Amino acid sequence: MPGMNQMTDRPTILCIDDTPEARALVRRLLSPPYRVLEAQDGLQGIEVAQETQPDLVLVDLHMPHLSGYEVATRIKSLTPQTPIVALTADVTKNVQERVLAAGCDGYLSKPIDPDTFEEQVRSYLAGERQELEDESYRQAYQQTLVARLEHKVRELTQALDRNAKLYEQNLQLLERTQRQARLLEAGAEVGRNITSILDLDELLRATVDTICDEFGFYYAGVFLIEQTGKWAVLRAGRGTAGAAMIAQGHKFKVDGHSLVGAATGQRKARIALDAGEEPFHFKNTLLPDTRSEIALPLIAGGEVIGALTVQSTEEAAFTPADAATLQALADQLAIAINNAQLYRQNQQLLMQADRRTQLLEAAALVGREFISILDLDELLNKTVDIICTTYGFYYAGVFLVEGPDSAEPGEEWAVLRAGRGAAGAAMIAAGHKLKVGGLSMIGAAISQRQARIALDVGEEMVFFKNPHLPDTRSEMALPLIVGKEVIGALTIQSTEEAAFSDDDITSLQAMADQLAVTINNARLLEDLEKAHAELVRTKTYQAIAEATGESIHWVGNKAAPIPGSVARITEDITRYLAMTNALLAEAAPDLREHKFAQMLTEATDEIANRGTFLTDIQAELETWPLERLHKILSVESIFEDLEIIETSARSILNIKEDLIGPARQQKIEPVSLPELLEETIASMGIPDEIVRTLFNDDLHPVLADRRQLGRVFTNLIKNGMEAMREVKDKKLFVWARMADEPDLAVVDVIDHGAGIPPDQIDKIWMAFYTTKSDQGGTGLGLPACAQIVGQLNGKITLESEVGLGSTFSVYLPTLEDANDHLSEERTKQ
Amino acid sequence: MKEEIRILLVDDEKLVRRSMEKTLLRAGFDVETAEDAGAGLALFETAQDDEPFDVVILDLNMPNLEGEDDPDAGLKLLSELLENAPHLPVVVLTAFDEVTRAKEAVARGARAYFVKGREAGLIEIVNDIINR
Repeated sequence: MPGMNQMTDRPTILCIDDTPEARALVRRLLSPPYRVLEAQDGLQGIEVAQETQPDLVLVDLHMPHLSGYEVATRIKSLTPQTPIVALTADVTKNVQERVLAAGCDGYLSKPIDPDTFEEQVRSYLAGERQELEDESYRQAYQQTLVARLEHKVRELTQALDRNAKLYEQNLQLLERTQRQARLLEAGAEVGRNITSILDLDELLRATVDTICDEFGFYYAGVFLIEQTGKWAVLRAGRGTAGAAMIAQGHKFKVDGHSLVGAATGQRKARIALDAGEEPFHFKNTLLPDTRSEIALPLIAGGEVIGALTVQSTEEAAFTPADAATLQALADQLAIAINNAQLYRQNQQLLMQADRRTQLLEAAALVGREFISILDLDELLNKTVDIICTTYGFYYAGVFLVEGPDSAEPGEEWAVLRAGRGAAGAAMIAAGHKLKVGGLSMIGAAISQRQARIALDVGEEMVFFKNPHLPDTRSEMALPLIVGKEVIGALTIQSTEEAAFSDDDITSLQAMADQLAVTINNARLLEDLEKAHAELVRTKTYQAIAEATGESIHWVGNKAAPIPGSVARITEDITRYLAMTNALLAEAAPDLREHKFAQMLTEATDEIANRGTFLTDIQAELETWPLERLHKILSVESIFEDLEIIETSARSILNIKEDLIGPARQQKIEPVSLPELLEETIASMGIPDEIVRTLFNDDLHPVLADRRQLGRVFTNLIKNGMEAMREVKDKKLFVWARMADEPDLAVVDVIDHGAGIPPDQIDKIWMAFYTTKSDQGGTGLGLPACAQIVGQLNGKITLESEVGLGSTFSVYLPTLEDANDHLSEERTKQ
Repeated sequence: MKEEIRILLVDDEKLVRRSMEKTLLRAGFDVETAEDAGAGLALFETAQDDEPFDVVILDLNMPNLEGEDDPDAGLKLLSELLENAPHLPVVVLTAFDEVTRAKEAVARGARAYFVKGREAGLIEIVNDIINR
């Protein structure tokens, strides 16, 4: 059935040939008059033929796998109507018969003849057929076909066989790959775990556990090569077996015959099987079930640091792939171990740094203590105590060089000035001293100006034979150097051998340097204090002399009117007596006998005895008119002069208060500040428009001696007024309130006077210092104030600015505080 | 014609002033007092045309012409007075320990100085001046 092809314009021709050139030639010769389809092998040809039902099939006989004969047979059976023409270069005998026997309808020989090819094709299309005349060819062909089939089946069976084997191999490969993947995964897991562990022992323990748990091995252990490099020592082992071996100090010689030894020596993994190539017997009684073992070198930074052993209960458990995986793990482990060791070293360095810091801090502490101590003996004793307590040393002592002795000229001695504990005290009492430049460590340290260290078994040939210090095993002597001079040496002793690290020496020498400077300071201070004491004495005498002068000047002024008043009173009394006597002389005789007259006569005699004759005075008085007598003689005048004397005397007594006021017996009582201040200001006679006061409502009474505190404010107010001497519009402000601190009241006395220059602020509190000696200042007022307020547990502060004025603030404890105190006392009772 | 010797006494110390005033009064002098340089000068100038003072006694250390404490107030007043009346006898008062300054005042034209205390001595000085 030509079918659809008959309806198309052009007949369809299928060319089945395995050589592209042959197909191309056919296409060129037949197309376009024909539609040429192509197939490059037999199977494809059969498919195309069945699908397209071509008008003619051209098939090459010699093709691989499926020959042209077989293709023709198959196509003939599928489409019996389609003419099939064989194309072949085969010129063997009877090829045409065999082609026809296979089912072909014709035969064209190769190479194709272009001149006749199209015509031949057209004739086959037109229905030309060749017939097979001899049927025996058909039988022969069928036999050949069956034989070929047989062969193919056999081939196929063999292939299936091979496939099954391949399949099995594939499975094994897959399994191995999976196992390897799992090992790698486990390895990565171990890697992750171990790289984050920085404690070496923990790292190794975790590693052996992880290897056994994750990989399912019987045992794992890590050996590390110890310092000498000769031995690989077991540092971690799985389970009780591992623990037991570590306890035994299990180790292998590096590069020895053991598996671990070989792995470390040869820097590569070694595998031992029970019946394997390595002559190895698993005879470790602690690991009785081991049937195979692998030892992997641990290499970090190109250096073998140890080995990892992994053991299995299975024979030949370790494949090369396992070895590779485990080696990757071992490499990771080696790096982690290295890290852990570096970490540990870092920690140690850190600890060393810590200790150094601690030592330096101790040295700083010593330094601080030193600076605050200026008494030499106290300084030295404290030094040895601090050295022993802070550094934990057995003994410390300070020797100071003393000048050449007159008995031994030219020789200097280092004398023990301070020593720790009873031993030190005993040696000082015994006058322990060592010759500078002598054989002792102290003597050598001083003469050589450098630290000397003696260890019990050290370079220095020193024997520790001091009976006071029997436990000394190492000693250090540090020179105390100030500038160019060695002033002594510090000895430090320890009960430990080789107790002094470089850091200790550095920090102790730093401390010794500080000590030397401080000792020098203390000595200078001693000299300075002597000089100062002398200066203070001189200054004091000078100040007293000055103050005495001031006082005398002041007293002299105050006393000036007294002699005048006394003279006048004397004169007045005399004159009254003279007048009385004159009258008496004129009186009746009986009156002269009166006892009053007798008294008057006696008084006249007494005055005459003093060289004044009342009759002379009487005569003088007689000459004066009454008006004049009134002017010069009156009882009022007598009383006025007495008052002058009294007032002057009181003024003079007042200066005493400045001098001895603070020392007077105190009478402490609650004092109302507003009341006291008002009184004080009023008594000073300062006009109201100058002094302004402000008293806060919350003010508590203060505890003070009323009179002394009054003097304090008098002085401060007087000071303020004097400071404003040059100021036209004088204003003084007095403000009393509670202070910010609890239970303290504060009184500010604020002036806007000249202010006090900064260089004088401290001096104003010094006794006898005054800037107004020419104004009658004694230089005692402010010091007295400070002393009085100090005695009352208060304080005075001063803020001053030149040109703006000064504020004196007096802080005083208030009553509330005392009440608490009193109630506490009562509760106790 | 003048009956009495007129004396101006200038001193800021009230008691001293009063005491000396009394002493001078009892000696028969006509005394007027002032407590500072300004008041003293005012009194002097007021009296100058009508009843001039014969003697002026003044303290060295007292409020000056501006009313402020001044150790040289007396010296300044002295200069003012001598400018007005070049031949006026002036006695300066001084404390026993400030004689140096008093001597300086004498060098500047004061007739005499008196160390405060024994006031009879002042009368002698004044009498000396008047009788000369």
